Amino acid sequence: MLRTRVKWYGAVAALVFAALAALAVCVLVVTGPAVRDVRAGDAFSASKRLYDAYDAYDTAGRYLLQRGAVYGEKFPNLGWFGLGAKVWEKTLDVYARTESAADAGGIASEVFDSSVLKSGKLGFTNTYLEAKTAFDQVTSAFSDMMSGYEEAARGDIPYDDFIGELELMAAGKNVYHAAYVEYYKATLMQYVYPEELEKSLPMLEKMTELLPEEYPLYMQTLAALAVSSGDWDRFLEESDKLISLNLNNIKAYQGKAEALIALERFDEAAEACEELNTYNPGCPAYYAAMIKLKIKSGDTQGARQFYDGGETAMATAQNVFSQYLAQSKDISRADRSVFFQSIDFVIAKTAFLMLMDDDWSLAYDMMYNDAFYPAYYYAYLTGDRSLLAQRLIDLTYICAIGSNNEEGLEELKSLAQASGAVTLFEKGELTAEEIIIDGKGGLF
Amino acid sequence: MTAVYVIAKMITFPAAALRAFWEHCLLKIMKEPVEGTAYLSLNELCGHVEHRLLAGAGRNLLFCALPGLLNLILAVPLVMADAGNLFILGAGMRNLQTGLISPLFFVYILFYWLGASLLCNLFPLYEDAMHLLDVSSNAKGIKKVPLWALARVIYAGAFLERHGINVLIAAMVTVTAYILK
Repeated sequence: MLRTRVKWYGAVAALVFAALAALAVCVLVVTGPAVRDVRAGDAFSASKRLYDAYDAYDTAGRYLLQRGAVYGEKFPNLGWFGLGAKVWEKTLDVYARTESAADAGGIASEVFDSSVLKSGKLGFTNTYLEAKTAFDQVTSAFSDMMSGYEEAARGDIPYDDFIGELELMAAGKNVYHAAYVEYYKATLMQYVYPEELEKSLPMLEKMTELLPEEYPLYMQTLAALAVSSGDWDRFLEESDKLISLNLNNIKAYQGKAEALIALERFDEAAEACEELNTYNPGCPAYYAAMIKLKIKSGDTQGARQFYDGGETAMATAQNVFSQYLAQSKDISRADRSVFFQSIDFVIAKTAFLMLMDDDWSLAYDMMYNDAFYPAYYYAYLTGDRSLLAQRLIDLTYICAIGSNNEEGLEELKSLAQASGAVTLFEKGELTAEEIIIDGKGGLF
Repeated sequence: MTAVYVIAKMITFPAAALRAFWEHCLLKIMKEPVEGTAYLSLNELCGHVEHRLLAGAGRNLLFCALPGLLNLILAVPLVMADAGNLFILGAGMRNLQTGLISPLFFVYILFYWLGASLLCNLFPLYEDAMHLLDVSSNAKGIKKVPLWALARVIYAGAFLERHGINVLIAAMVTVTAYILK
């Protein structure tokens, strides 16, 4: 028998491989959650759940950045964990499709160092950066144009001259300039001729043709036209189109449900709400829409089962509000969305309490603490007044009247609209049922 | 054909040497004589040790499968860790957000090469696989079916390794994953 010794380098190789395999397990443990999130994002994107896809990519990026920061403290000159160009491309694509190409450009210029942007690896960001530049230029030109007319009557604005100037801006420029010029032409048209909304539709159609993601103004216009004409067909058609592009489009579902409620097609509205909940489980918008649907269909007791439904989401919303108050810049889009939806949910819950007519104090407290106060401070901290809508202030004021809350009345008097539903309710000429169920006063 | 085989083994030399080491250890444990102990000789024995054909189905299966199994156990974390980072997260030489060099990228590349090398050295020498096939055909009783199936899998793997096709497959998978990442 030949007796041979094993080679020393074989033993060394075995030890080195074992050590590297152990190190690989450590790497797997550290980066595994991010890998899982990116794969989940890909799956969401493939199934048209674009907000979920973005959130998954965003979570992966935040996680890696956080892990990298730990090592970065010890070795500050090295870049540790990060998402690759391809994942960033998918992230910005999803963002552009759900928000706008200009916003995606904003993220690109914020996240990436200019030297990296110019390196060519991030060539895909050029499109978004062009969109952002176009948006900034057209917006700035429009602001300059309007700067002398803040106090002027609408009729004093030289509409034709401004349209001509805007059209000149689009000449010879890229598609984004053309699209944003159409956007501002429509905005100007709607401001100067608010009674002739339909005339802005061709501009908005052209804009959405060039930039499909810039649909909100188009949909708002369609909704306003549908309200005045009672013809919701086109709005519903466009809503279905938007939903088919992104099953996470909560606003499109809300719009569709509201349109179907207005048409008293309650079963179809319920189907739309259930679909909303299927693709966006547990979102406050679902509970808000269901409460509204039940109330409008005369099933006030049925609304009760959805009253407490969104409590988990409400806790998240309060947590996000605390982050806003702490001026945190690290609020994810998913959390922000829950916060925005929570305002609608509170309004729906308050409406239910108003209808029950048994606890106006609770209705006021809820409306003030969970809707008015967060919306007010959100507007104060961010400069964005979209949450602090007049109907929110008016409903809070109506609750203050109903609960005889002197302090609340004093605080809100200057903000509430001194006409319409508020005045009529104060005089006793409108009841809560008329405001909420019949929609009188245009608040609900 | 030997040249292709030797080139494939040289590309994956750390794992080839490791496989030969496992084989050598196993033969010593089984008290079988070992005739040639150069783990990386430039001939058809590269990545294996020279020995007499073993007697008995169980011993043959153990000798053909265990070294590959050990390589597979080491390969799985290596390949999973770097495939996730290189192909799913798309990690590059520089961190895109900070613009700084990422040292982990080089670790991932090393892991990937070593992991793929291990996966390219899972199967025994072609002659050992053929012998296992013969032995498995003569096996009797209930063990014949699993032995027959395993012997064929091992034979197929050894055939791929003999012609360097496994390295070619690994290269194609890498290129495809890189393009699709």
